[in-house]
Amino acid sequence: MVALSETELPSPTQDIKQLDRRIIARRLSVILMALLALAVVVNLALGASGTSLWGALGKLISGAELTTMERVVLWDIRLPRIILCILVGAALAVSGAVMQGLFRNPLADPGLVGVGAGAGLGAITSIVLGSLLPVGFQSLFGHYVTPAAAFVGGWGSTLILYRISTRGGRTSVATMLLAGIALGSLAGAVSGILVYMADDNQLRDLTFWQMGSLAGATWEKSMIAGPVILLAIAGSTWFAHGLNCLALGEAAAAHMGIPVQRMKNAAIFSVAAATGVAVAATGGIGFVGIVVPHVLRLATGPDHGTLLPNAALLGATLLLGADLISRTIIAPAELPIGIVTAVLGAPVFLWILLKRRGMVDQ
Amino acid sequence: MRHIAFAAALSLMATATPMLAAERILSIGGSVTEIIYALGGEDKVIARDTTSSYPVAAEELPDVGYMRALSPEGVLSVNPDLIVSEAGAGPAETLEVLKKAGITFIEVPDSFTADGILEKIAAVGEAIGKPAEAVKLSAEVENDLTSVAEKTATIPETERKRVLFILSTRGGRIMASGTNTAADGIISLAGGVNALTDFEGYKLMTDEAVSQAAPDVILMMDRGGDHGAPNDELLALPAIVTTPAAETRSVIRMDGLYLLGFGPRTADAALALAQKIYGTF
Amino acid sequence: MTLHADHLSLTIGKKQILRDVSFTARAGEVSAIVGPNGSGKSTLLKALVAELPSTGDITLNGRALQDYKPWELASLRAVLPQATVLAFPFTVLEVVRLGLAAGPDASNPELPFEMLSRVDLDGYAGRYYQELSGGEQQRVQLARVLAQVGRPMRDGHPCWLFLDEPVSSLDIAHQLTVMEIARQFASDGGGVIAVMHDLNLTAMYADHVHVMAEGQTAGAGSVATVLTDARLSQVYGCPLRTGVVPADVGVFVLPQTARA
Repeated sequence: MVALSETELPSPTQDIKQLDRRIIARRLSVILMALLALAVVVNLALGASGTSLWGALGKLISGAELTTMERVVLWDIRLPRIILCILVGAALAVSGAVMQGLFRNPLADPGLVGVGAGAGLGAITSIVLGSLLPVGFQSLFGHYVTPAAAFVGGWGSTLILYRISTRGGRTSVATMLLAGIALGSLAGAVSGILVYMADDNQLRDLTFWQMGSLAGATWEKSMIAGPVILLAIAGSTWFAHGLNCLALGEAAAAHMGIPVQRMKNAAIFSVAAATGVAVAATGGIGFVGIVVPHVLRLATGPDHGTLLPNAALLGATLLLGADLISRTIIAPAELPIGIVTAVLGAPVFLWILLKRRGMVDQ
Repeated sequence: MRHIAFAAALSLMATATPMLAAERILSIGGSVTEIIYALGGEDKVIARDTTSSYPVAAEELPDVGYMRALSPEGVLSVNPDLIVSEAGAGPAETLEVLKKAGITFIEVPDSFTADGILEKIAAVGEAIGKPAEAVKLSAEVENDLTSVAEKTATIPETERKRVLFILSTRGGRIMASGTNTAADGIISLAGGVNALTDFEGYKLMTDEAVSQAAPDVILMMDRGGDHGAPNDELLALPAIVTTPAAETRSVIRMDGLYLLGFGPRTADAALALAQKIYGTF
Repeated sequence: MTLHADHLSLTIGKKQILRDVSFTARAGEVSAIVGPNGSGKSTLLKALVAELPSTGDITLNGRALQDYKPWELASLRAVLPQATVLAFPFTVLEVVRLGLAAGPDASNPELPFEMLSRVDLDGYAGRYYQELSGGEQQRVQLARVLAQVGRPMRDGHPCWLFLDEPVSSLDIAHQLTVMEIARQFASDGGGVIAVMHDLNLTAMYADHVHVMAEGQTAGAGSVATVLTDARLSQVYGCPLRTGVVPADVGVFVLPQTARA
């Protein structure tokens, strides 16, 4: 406790601990972990079929055989879906936070500024043109083609977006949003052409995919998306300090020893990779990437060192919650999860805009 | 690929498995549900998909959602032992899980011709263990279809009307039917000529292509929302205003499932459509 | 130990901003860069810290600038920009800590508070940076810079502060506070290079003055030799006189009076 005078502050003497939002953020991490664990249990326990988790656990403990229904519902349906939910929720939230740090703007979101659309274009291309690949290649790498194509699409659009909207290290918000709209429509238009070329079978795959859903969650998808997303999130902790310094401007960050160009490349790469495989696995799911980081910044400040891991936790928890709604609210049918996140997220986004109109007008 | 596999599975099932075992049937696809009801199998049907809206009694059943986006747990929750489905149910991952859960999944063939309906009836009959009823229904339907075909055959080539089926006019852009669709099938059963034959499936049309197709009659589904633009609005669209159909204000609207279902009511629907197109019979 | 730049030239677009500028600053001294608006003062500072690419050689402590790794430079010198717009709602403490983390004293959690105290911002640690006045923000940034490179000497090598108009939005008392910090840093062996507008403060605190005009050096040396009537009048384009009390002008206030 050095030099905290009581005279100049409107508030009385503050303890260092109260000033230090890192401590609050760490406490929040613990709470978020508990919430995530709770969400996992709830999602494992609840579902349209009414299969009881507790019954199955009881049987496991007593050594009794599970019924086919219990095995299929818990092991083949709910669990892979939960894992994919966690991965995709974390990927979307962290990508959003990294992108916002990179563009130095709380409104940048992969879904809003055309990166999601670029990834979508990649995925659609692979679905429609994938049949042109040699059959042997398809059978060996078939499951990787769509995620890889989505990554390439996402990466390309992020690079283009950054080149257009950032000049001398300063991002013009208006340019970014407009370029995002243009990129989004361009990707949408090319996707439209591809959809036009698609045959009936492919069209079915596309329709399902475009709706954004976790109903197609499988262990296989988690195994493909998992390593990429976990690496991207782990990698993002490496440039968390760099993103903090970047908030002072590119030149200031460089003077603080940040290899700015390398860090930006790494950030763009990780956003594209995480967004790409997430989009390939579940289609477009909006607003997680903008709402989660914003709420966390309000709670514990913009320090990326705590923001990124907390965003992963909250994003995963939020998507589990949204998925629970999506698969139970109109059971036995299912509401596409993209609709749930939009209904929950769009009002929050509008509220952010309302509070930060000045930010956009700059 | 999947279709072939299911078709193969179907033929195997038809010969090897005694289908009488099915006690809880999930019916997917409007025409399949209609056929099951027509065969008197409704007491075994415990759930349906969103497109199964006829007969009205079917709407009382739990709805497992849109047939192309089935949720695995949603399907399991109604606890079926047999799923009978039109072609195109999905996604593949859901079907995979259902197979693991030991549920028999039978996809019936779909083609938009008179013979296609008969095949469909036979396949559904086999699937739900009512082959005899299927033979009977099939004979009735065939009879009706033949009589419609005989009537429409009397229309001279030169008097055949060009019919344009419009699926939607969302945002003023016309999504219309080419060949190899249910709409194309019903138009020809009704003695009409599809105005658009240079592509397959449903596509968004440019205005000029619609003008050039020069339909005498416009056919649409009788539904709310963007599927059912009022006639004045529809005929005022630039694409349509120049067509013969606009001049004579010939717009026909019919219930979607009735018109396009390719089930037991199709002969009826074809006749009704022919009457609306030609005003006689 | 010096900062030395040889024959710097710098072009932005088609406009040549710096033309063959050579510059030397010694550790232990405050070196001021002065000159009229648009003369290339700030550009020269940015060239000296390699923020803008220039042709010519720059050495720091006898070693070519490009031979340093980014993190080595970060612990050897810190740069205070003219004004900083923050992208996110950081608190004052968090901003200063960013500097702390970038420097060699990262493990000292008390340092940010000490530095805030030095720039007369006691008790500001928990305030939001974006809610402060321009002058307060400028001092927060100085505290951030001092937290990064706070000690004038490290392992026998001098450290460097590059300050771009450090007192431009400060009141006179805080101008003196900040210049005293720079003065002290130099007296303890470090090197300070500051872009200055205020010629009085320059005369008070600088050991070495480098005058810029139209992208070129218009004079360099001690205050007494450089800030001459002729040079100032010519460079600024108006008749100026040093050390003369004009008759009958009413009130004027010189910062020098605060020291006396």
